[in-house]
Amino acid sequence: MKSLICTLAGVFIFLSLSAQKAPAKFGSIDKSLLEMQVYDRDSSAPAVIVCNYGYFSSNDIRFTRLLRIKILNKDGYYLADRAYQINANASVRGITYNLENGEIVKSKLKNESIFRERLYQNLVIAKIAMPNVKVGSVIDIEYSYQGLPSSWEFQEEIPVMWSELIIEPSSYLRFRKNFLGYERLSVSTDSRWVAQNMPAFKSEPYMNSSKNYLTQFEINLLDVNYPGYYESVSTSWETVGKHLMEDENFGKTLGPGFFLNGLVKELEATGRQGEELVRLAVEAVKKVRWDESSRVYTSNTALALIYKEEVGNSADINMILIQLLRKLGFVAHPVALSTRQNGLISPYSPNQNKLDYLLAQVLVNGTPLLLDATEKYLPYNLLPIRCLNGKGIRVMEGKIEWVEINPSRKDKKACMADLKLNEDLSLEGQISNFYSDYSAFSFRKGYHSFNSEQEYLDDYLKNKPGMQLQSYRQSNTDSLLLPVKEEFQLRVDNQIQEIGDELYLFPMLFEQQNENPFKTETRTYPVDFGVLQERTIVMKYTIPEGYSLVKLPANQMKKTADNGINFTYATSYLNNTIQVSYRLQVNKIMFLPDEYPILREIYNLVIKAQAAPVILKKA
Amino acid sequence: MKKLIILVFFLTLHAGLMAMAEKKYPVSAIPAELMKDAQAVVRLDEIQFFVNSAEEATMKVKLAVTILNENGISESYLIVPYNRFYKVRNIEGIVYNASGEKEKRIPNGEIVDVSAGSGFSIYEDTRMKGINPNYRNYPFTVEYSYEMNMNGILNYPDWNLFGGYHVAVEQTSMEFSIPKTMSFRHKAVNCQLEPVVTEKDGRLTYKWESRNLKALKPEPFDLPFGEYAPRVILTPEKFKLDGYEGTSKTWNEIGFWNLKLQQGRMELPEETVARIRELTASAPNDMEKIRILYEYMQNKVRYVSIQIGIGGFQPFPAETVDRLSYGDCKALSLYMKAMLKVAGIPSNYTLVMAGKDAERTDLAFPDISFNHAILFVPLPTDTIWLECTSQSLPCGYLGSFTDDRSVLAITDFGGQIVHTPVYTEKENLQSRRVEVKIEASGHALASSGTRCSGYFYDQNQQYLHMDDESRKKAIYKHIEIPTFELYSSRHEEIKTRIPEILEKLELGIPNFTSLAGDRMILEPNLMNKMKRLPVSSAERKSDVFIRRSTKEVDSILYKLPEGYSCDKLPAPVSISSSFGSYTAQISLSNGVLCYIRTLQYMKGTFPASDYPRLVEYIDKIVRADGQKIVLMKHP
Repeated sequence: MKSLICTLAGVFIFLSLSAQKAPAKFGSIDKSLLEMQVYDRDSSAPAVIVCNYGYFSSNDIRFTRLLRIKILNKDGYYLADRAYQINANASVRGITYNLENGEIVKSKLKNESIFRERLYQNLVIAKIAMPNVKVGSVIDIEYSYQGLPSSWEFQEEIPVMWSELIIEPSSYLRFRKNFLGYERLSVSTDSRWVAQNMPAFKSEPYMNSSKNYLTQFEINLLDVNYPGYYESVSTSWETVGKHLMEDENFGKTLGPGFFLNGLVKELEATGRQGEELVRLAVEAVKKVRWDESSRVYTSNTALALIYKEEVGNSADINMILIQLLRKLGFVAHPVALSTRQNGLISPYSPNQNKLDYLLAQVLVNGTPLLLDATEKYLPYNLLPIRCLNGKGIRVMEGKIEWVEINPSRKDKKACMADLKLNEDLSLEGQISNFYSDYSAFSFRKGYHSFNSEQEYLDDYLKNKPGMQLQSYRQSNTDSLLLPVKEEFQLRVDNQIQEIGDELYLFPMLFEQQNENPFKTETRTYPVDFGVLQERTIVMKYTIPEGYSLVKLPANQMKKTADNGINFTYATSYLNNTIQVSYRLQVNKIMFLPDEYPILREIYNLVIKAQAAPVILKKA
Repeated sequence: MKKLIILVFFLTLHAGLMAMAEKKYPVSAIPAELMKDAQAVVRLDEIQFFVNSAEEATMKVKLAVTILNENGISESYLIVPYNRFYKVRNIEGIVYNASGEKEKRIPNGEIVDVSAGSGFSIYEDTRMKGINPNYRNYPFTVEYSYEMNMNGILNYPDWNLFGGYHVAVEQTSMEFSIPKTMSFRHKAVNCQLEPVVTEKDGRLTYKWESRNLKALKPEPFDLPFGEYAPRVILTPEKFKLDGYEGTSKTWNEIGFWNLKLQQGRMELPEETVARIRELTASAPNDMEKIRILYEYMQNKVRYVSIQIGIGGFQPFPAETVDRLSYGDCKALSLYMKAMLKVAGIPSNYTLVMAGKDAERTDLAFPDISFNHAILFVPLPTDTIWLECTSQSLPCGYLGSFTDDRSVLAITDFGGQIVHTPVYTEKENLQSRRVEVKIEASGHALASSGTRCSGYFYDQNQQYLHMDDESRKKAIYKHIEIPTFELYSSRHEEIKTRIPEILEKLELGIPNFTSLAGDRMILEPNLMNKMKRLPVSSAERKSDVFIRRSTKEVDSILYKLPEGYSCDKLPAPVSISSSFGSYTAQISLSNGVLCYIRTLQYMKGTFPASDYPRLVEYIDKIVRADGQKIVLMKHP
């Protein structure tokens, strides 16, 4: 009886699905589509996806995708030459439709226009060059393979008229999907999802991963269950954690770690303890250079080998760090996460594939501290910006815990100038720059990308006409915990304008901000600064005898109600000394689109304030 | 006893060998002068090239490079491209640490073999083998060796003394061996190196060597790398690839070889022939026929890069292009030639070294080094050039990708060198007129119209191919006004022989002027300021090279708010030099401030010693462009 009910239910689902007519059928189109010249909803679109239809059939466990694209102008031709990542045994077919003398003419995609390139193992890139594509053409591309795709994008870089995904319930596979993005679906049942009239997706500057905003499903297999075969993939973050702990390239890499015995001895011999010892451990592990790949799995099952080779990915390096910290007597655990570029992870949609980074967490006197040893120029108490992506999971034997990954430090930069105005209208004196925390990191990294100090200085002078350096000194370049300090002794010609008997001095000199980073008037997605910012500029000018002040630039101040961004500009004149101070603080990382106008306005005010001159007069 | 002696001998020998093997390429052995400006130092670069016949050769390469810091990391990779005519064997890689001790040998399993298909090509049959030693403990040295068997030859490899910028060279050599019975040519470029020639077993061996070369740095306004870096070029007199034989003593001969590749590939289906006749039947002259067919082709086909076989030198048959409606530069040029032939207009398929900043072809040394094909149509009173990969360029215009250079036209009588059009400052012209209405508040409304032709058309062409939203974002990004609002924008293409883009912008500029009591301060150069200074350098190496003559004219009319005037306008600036000229002048009448700026570059190559004069010239321009004006309000 029970089995009968099941069968009935199955039949029911089957009926309800097949009752749904497919939105498009390969090989047959309406003439009106060929006659279409402009897509009404986006009149300048070079092409539009008429239909993107995915169907997973539970009978043969096969996924079929039909893509129908209308080419609206020549700039849409690139859509006719696309690469698809498929299985080696996938079948591909295609048709180009054209209207010739009022008749529909079909050109079939032949093998001569399909170029397969082996990627690795069974994976192939199929590059398809559709034949006879002209302005007005419609192309159909259909391919099918066994299995499920790992994602389904409802939105693309060109508009999408209809995107539909059907996944027939199958007793063989279970999956979970995670919805991402800003646009809404018009149909959303347990097995069928439709999005209509999706606008083209355009990324914006100061944006976190576009993967967070593009309307799409991430599809995760939960388990595969054929008669005689069962594989559970991921069902909860706890299970993900369990899998990670059991993985040869994750949990199983941690062991006695004999290869670190020598280093442990060395570190212990320093007599340092607590946080100071942690710092030394991080610096010691940096001997293993980062190969610039972000991974949650180690590249080798033996950490000793990686340590010997002295190069590794993020998991390699930080797993060695965990091993080292444990041997030094600390409690240390791996924290798995997804980098900013890879998109956010959510507690509600466990997905092992979405993890692409590993950090170390250590307890120092009961306080947890997150650590990363991949960046040569980053101090132990800062995490790379790529890791600052909300949350991670601490993976332990038998359990996981969510960990907040928030930046503890800012991107902080200060510029102080002490200059004397000479009779010949040149300026002479000293400018000092201070780079702290993230700003120090960028400075150190940038500075070392030059092959010599001279090259760095040549570059520095490129946009500073009239500046001549008399001397240059840099301190703390290599002591990571301290701010970098630069001191320039210099002379600047031609920056003061003499008009009549008045002198005009633009006090920010070469630090003047000449561009609003937020020029466009509207914003679709949140502005994401990555880390908090603080910029300070203090310019001091000593005026020679015989000059008097005519006008100082106005003081300015503006901030958002929540103090998310805060700007002040203050000027003063005392004892022949003019001082102009500028400060901009970004106190929160993310600004929603409705906060965008005020953000833009504040930057406009910055530009306005800095553009005002100090006016002096010969007495 | 004897046994013991032998054993001792062996032990010492072994120890000796060990000691020798242990230290190789220590960093301490690099001469100090080579460290300057270098991120890597080539310790040893040995090429041995053995020619066996017109078709067959083998090459042995040994290379050792010390990577000094992370900027030089890409020099640690080995990349060996190959295809079905080249077989690569015996790739070996060893890493040494700074003191010269062997760190590791690269296992065979880590030698990758991947498709070289770039994002550029949809398909290429070129693949590459390579090694990423995955070692980052600076400084360190990689040592590579490999062999290549070539079964098909178009050209011999050049001997480049330098692989790129910021790399010094300690020792480099090229040994070229060829049967006495075969001829080849060689030429030292940007150096005076002479080979040592030896003869043995019926073969001649030429050996070039050089040592201790300081790293080169990119410099502003420099020649293309290949035009000033020293090298020796070699080329066969007789070559054979994929069954096609050729000789390259002269450009003419190279042309004959290329002609063979086109043979039998110009046939078009009957319907297409009929269509061509019908399209051109009523055209009044050849020029008009060319235009009709060029536009027909632009609408029918699209450019898809597919590089297969014979070094990417043989075009697909015209029939294939006609059937699939796509092709690469060769296929599309040949297709166009076939269509013109039907219309009775002879044309020449033409090989070119393309690129905005490409190296120029050395006419005195014929060899096969081209990367693009175009079509050259000589008419009795005019010469028409067709870029067949473009779906949008006007008929007869070559952009900066192929302008002003020597190219090889393949005629029925072999190859012939011709020169592509030189566009002067009359064609490469950007002229802008802006009317700016300044309000008493300091805000401004600007209405700008810019005519971009020639080179400036090329630079702005992207705007024609964007949807509205992307175009708007691009304008916000490129217009150099600190902050503004874009009210409207339009880009219109004028498809004349020298094409133009008309750009119209309506902008609102908040706080355009700065107010200080009765004063209003403005920078008259609204949106075309020269900002960056070329670095002044005492050791300039390259000649100063200005590739194209261009001219920019900006006329900005500022309608001042009521009551403002200027007592003292800046004096006109006029700077002229052999590199070009610059003028800026400001006048005021009837409440309208008129700013006119012209900037002109003259094409030319100037000795390196002229560089300080160029820096001085640009420095003056940067200052003049930063000029500000103070207006006073009179009650």
